[in-house]
Amino acid sequence: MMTVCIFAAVTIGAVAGYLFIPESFMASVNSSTTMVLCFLVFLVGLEIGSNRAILRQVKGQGGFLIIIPICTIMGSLFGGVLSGIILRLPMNLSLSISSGLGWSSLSGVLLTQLDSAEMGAVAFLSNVFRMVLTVIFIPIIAKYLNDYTTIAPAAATSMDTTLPVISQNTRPEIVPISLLNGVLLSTLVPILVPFFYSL
Amino acid sequence: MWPILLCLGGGIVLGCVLKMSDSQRVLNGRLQFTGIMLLLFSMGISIGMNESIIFDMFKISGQAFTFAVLCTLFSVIMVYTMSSYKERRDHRR
Repeated sequence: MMTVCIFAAVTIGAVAGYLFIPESFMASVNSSTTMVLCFLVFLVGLEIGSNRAILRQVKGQGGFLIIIPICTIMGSLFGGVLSGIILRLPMNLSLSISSGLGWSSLSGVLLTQLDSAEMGAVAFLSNVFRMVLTVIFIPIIAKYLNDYTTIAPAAATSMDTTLPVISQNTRPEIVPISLLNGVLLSTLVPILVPFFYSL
Repeated sequence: MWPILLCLGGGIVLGCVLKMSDSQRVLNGRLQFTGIMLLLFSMGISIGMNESIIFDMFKISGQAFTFAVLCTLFSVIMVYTMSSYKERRDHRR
């Protein structure tokens, strides 16, 4: 349902922008986008900060918990660098796109603001494709690799969109690890995307 | 960058201090959903107003797919390497 709404919002916006909306209107859209973005990030922070259940689960799991998000980020960044080399894109832009970590809506909007609508579209679509690949490959990864690895492709979506797929295909103890991974990566996306872009 | 970081940090601190009730959580979720939809709609407008993006959609999709495949692949390789090492170590114990 969420995926349908995401596609509908972008498509309706694109059609409206192409057919109806005058260019003079765009400046006011850009300034209000920044305010909505800040408010949205504040609400995400509020949700993360108030989630005490995650903190309790972290205490019981030990240091290995932190290894999965770190490896997920490192792998994504390495993939981003490689993509940048193949596509001949600047390194800061490639790192910035790859640090969207599956959060299509936020990384798309951030890159649109930081760079251009074209790079926003690349970031948005790359994370949508990542989510699709995740849903397809989680059962295969769980069967042929191991349960922990199912969290890697999901990245920031491992706490919401792809969590049901992970929990269906793995052991119950993987769920809190997946939740924590999602919370950590979702916290880091609004930090990493502008950080790498500014390099 | 700084306004975003400040808003995120402020939200986390306030979330740690305040205890959110279930109804407040639901309201927060709905506000987030509305915010995301507004942002995506405005992103759609920027895409629609830029004709070169519409005509380059095939190229953009190709670039996005390259990023998606390589980022996913290397995340999987990294996590698999570390987690299989952990599992081997746990098994030996």
